Amino acid sequence: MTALSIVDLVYRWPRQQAACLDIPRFEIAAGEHVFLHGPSGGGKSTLLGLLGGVAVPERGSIALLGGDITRLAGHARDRFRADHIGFIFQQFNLLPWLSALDNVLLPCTFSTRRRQRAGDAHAAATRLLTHLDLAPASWHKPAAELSVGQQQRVAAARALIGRPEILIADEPTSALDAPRQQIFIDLLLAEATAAGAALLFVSHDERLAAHFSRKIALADINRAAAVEP
Amino acid sequence: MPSLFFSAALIAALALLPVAHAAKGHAHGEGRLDVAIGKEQIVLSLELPLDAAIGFERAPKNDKEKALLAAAAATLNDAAALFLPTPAASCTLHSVQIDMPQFDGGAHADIAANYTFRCANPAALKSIETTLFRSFKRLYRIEVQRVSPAGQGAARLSPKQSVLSW
Amino acid sequence: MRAVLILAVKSAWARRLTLSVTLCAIALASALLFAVERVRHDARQSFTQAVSGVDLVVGARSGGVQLMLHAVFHSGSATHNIRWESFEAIATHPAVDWAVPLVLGDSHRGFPVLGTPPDYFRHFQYSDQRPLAFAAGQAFADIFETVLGSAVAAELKLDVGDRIALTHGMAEAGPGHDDKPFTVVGVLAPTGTPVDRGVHVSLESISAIHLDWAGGAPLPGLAIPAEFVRKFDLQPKEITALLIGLKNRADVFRLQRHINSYRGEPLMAVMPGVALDELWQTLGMVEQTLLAMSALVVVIGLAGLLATMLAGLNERRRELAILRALGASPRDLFLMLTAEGLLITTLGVAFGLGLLAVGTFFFAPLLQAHFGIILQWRLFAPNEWLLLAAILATGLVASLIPGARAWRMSLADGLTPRN
Repeated sequence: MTALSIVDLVYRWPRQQAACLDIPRFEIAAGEHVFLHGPSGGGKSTLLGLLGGVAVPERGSIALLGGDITRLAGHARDRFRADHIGFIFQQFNLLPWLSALDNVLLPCTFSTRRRQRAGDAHAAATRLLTHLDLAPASWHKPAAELSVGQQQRVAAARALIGRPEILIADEPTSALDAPRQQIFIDLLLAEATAAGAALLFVSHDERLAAHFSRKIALADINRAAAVEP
Repeated sequence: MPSLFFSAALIAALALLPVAHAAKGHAHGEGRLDVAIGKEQIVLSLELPLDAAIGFERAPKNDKEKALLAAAAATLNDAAALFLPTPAASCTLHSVQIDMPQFDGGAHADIAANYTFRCANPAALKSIETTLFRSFKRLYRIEVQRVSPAGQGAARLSPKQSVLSW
Repeated sequence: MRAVLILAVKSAWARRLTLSVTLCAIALASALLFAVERVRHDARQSFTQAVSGVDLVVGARSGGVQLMLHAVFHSGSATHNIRWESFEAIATHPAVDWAVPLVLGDSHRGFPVLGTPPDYFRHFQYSDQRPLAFAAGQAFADIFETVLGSAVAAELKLDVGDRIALTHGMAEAGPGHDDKPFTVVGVLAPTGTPVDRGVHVSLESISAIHLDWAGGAPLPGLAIPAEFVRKFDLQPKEITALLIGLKNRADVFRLQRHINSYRGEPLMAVMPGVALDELWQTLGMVEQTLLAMSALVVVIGLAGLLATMLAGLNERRRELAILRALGASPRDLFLMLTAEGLLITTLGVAFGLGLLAVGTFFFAPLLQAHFGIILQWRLFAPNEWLLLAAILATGLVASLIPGARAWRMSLADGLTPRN
């Protein structure tokens, strides 16, 4: 089974002539870890929005876990995202007024499925935080008081809780210095493997590709030349 | 403190009240109605400037004016159509007495009318509607004084507010 | 959706400092609005109760409202007195049940003195036919005896057996009647009407203290000691006003016409309930203006809420994007913002009502003492429910705007906010 399968995808920004994305074919197998290289402004955010279901393409299909999400209604796409996808962004991933632990638990309040798959949600969260090397002393601190590195690890734990089948990480390491990037990617990959999740890791920094079994450039799969506005 | 401010304004307004307010004179177009609600009966005393009823305040000069005066008297006599107490009170007209002006040379002339209704169920009496404004187009206001076993009150009726309720 | 609402509360708590300023503004504004409405309502109630037992007030011709205010509320002054013979002529009219003459004009430390026969305590009724009652002592039976209203006794800490001196006129430091002190023989139970502020003495007492006076000042070289006053005829020649109760209330118009056309001297009979309604008609504009101004203050408070929330929305753009990535729909975010606004409004109004209760507690005695307005401890009157609904509805409308903006923002931003 594929985790993600894009066929004939075309997306155009409103009031724009040229297409921003034109992807004939792109697939990620279940549990596969893929590095997607793309400079900023190359339609990357747009692609992630489409995968997350907050935007719909002009044509083509986006099958996630076998189902075409472009055919779902808005609220069903929101539901699907909550149930099956974990996101990690560049920075400011957390609600600053919640503790690290409560931030990790958030997906379980939005998705019954992830709460059930997490089992004892609280135990799952502390286990993930421990695995991601976050000291218990910082679990109950407001997220705003954590360092950037700590925040990114909390974000990873949140993306992983309840074992979603798909992880999407958008430049998750660009706010970190080089040694920490290394450590973060290692931890992320280990946890993704443990959870059996497919990982789409998007970055402009090709040096990070070394960690991944498959590396693809967005420019290679996207026929559209237009840049994001 | 807002309530103090309010009270201060209230007291100031009391001081500014015009003395003339209570001493009501005769005003064209403005009628007066005293409503006395007793245990079983309502007595209505109406004072209507002749001008409001027929458009002039002197002895009629010709047949047309005489006819106008007679028509006004007839309208005022038809009390059951003029005053409509709360239907549930089951009030019926008991007596009507109309005093047409004598034209004794004064500048003003009023029609005085007294109506008595008897009510089978006075407890249900909550309002009286009047059709005076429909019959007399020049009438624009009626100052009402009301007394009932429950207390006294004043009200102002107009073509837009032709129901007296308490 | 429940998750979103819980997050809304937590998020609001995180911004409690900013929001509490807005909340205070709403609380103060709604307290003001409710206070104005309550004073307006209760003023009418109190005034109506004060006059409810009197069918007619008779005095010299002046304004009906002035006469009623002077005779019942002892505010203002009378232009002329009426003759004793007129009182006797009216009191014997067959429709009259009781007639009580009043002489006003003196005071004791700012409290008005009422010269009246002891019948007054028997006949005067207030709020739904409740008679006056004595908290201590009894009615005066002799000259130089006085019965105090409850507020007079309480404020001046006087009791039966104490002695007081009256002052000529209403000024606290007017020329005195110190040479003829009065003994307190009775204290009335509280009524919530101007009676509470009255110092009641007999008509003869009033005559007695003015024997050696003329034209509002003591006669030079003449001083009649208190023990000699009984040698004089103390029957008053003139009275200030006359309160009348009727055997049949419906006869009021007949007697009113009779008195207004009385041939002995120009008199005027006023129906106090009617005069009060006329007073409210005159004050209607003032009331409406005050209410409108207070309503405007509430609107300004809610506009502040709107401004605070809209300003905060830009800072929370990232927060909304995070919730979106977690699976929140635009509708959830709309609900979250709207709920927050409504929460602040509701809490604000609740605090406002608390303020009103505290304010009532502290200021009600003042209002009662100075204006005879009794603020009621009670649940909402229908009008107040209406006000409450109006405030909440306005708050809802104000909250829908940031809600709608959050909705649109989340659609435009998707998962990555553009700032």
